[in-house]
Amino acid sequence: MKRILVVEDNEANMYLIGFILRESKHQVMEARTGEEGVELSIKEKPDLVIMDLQLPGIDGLEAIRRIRKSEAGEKLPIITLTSYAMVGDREKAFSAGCTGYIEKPINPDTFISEIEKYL
Amino acid sequence: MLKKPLFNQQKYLDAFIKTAQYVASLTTQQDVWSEMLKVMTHFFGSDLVAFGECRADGEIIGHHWALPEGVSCENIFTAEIKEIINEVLEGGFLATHQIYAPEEYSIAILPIKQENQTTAVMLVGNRMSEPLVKELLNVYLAVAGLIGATTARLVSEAELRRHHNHLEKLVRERTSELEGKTVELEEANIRLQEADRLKSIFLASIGHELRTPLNSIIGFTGIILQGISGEINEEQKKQLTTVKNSASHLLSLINDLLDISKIEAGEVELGIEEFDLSALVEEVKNSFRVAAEEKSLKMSLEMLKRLTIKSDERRTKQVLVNLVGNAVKFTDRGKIEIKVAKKEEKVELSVRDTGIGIRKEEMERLFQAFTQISSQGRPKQEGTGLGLYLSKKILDLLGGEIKAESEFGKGSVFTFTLPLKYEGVKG
Repeated sequence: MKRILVVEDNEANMYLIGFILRESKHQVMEARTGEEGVELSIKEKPDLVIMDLQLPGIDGLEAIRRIRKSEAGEKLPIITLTSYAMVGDREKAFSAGCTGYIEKPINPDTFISEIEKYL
Repeated sequence: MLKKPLFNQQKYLDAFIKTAQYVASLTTQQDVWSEMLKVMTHFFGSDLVAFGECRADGEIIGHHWALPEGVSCENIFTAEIKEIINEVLEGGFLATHQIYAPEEYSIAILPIKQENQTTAVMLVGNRMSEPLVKELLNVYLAVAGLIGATTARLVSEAELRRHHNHLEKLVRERTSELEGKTVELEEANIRLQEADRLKSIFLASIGHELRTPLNSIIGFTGIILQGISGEINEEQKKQLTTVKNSASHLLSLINDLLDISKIEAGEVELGIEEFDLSALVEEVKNSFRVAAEEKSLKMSLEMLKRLTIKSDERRTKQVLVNLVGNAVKFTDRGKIEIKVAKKEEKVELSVRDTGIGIRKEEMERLFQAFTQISSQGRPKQEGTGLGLYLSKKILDLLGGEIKAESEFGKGSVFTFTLPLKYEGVKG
């Protein structure tokens, strides 16, 4: 069992991701804004962060940059959720410091194995 | 016996030269007659001078004169003189006469011609102390010629100026007209660009908004189908599979539309990197294995074990998925052959099927947007009609080409090429 922080403002997606993770016996922490995501990443020291890019307040990219600046977040695996047609999102996410990316829409058949690669 | 009057040759030669220089400096037609009156009285010392302008029919339309004190027009233009003037106008010759007005004058009436057409007459007279001798008449004839040439010059210069001004006016009008048009066009262009930008923004945001709910629709149908949330029966499974497939189809439709709007707006960022094309083809082939097996189609693959190319992997995959997907979709029995071959600096990929084929008349429209081939006797195929159009656009971006060959009822082969090394695309 790992402790995973999900930063996602869309309730349906949060429910879906949380459901899949809990089914695989992981502990899920939820943040709904970029600021909250940064705060929990530093305070709770999760094993992995799943970060949506479009968030209210500071966006996912800025949140990643802030997490990377902190001591606790320096080596933390951060997986971004990118949209298929948003060409350039991946590149931006990597230059902000993410570890990997998963394309939306989430495929429940492969989601867990993709996440667990980074744990 | 009359003493033969002396003719001062030098005086008249000087006068003639001065006259020639003077008339050369005239620039407008307007005061040519008053200037010529000055010339005749000052340079030549003529005692009386008169000019009569006339129309082509001989009608005199204007008089200009310089007469000595005590001499009036009536004294000069007597009925007799008018008759002589008319003769000169008709014949174009010089005529001499003597008049009393009230002194005795020796006068000459000379035609002034512009290009062989008499346009004026000059009446010039001297007191009898210096009568118009033959030599002087010759000089006057030359002066009349000079006046004619000068008037002709001034007329054509005026004409030229008029033309010039007219042309300038036309050019100015056209220029301002064109400037107006340019401004209109620029404004229209700005409005179009703005509309296009709004369309892109609209598509991007609507695309995002449409995809977000699909995320959970596809996700949860998948979860329920897996049985994670509890057992479901066969009927429920079938229905949920339909939901999942429809949602996936809707998603690919949105993605195609977004792709096309990005490509058309020139906003595509290519991800150029080296990758193993063979692995990609294998992966695509495998992704269609289930679909092919369901229709009992054989799939074969002929290629090098490893073929590294430098291009956009994701876009290349998109084209190949489209072609193999079409082949599976439009083939009911037989096989699908995928071939990859290296040809000089290019790689050629072909997808051959034994499907329904394409009619000749439909081949032309194949790579246009929203085109779906008609398939008589078959249920209408799902699809946006954007796949081949998008594939062609992608290959244009990657420096590749695509073509299709088909025999209706027998099958089709779609072939596309890609440079082994993407090095940008001209234009």
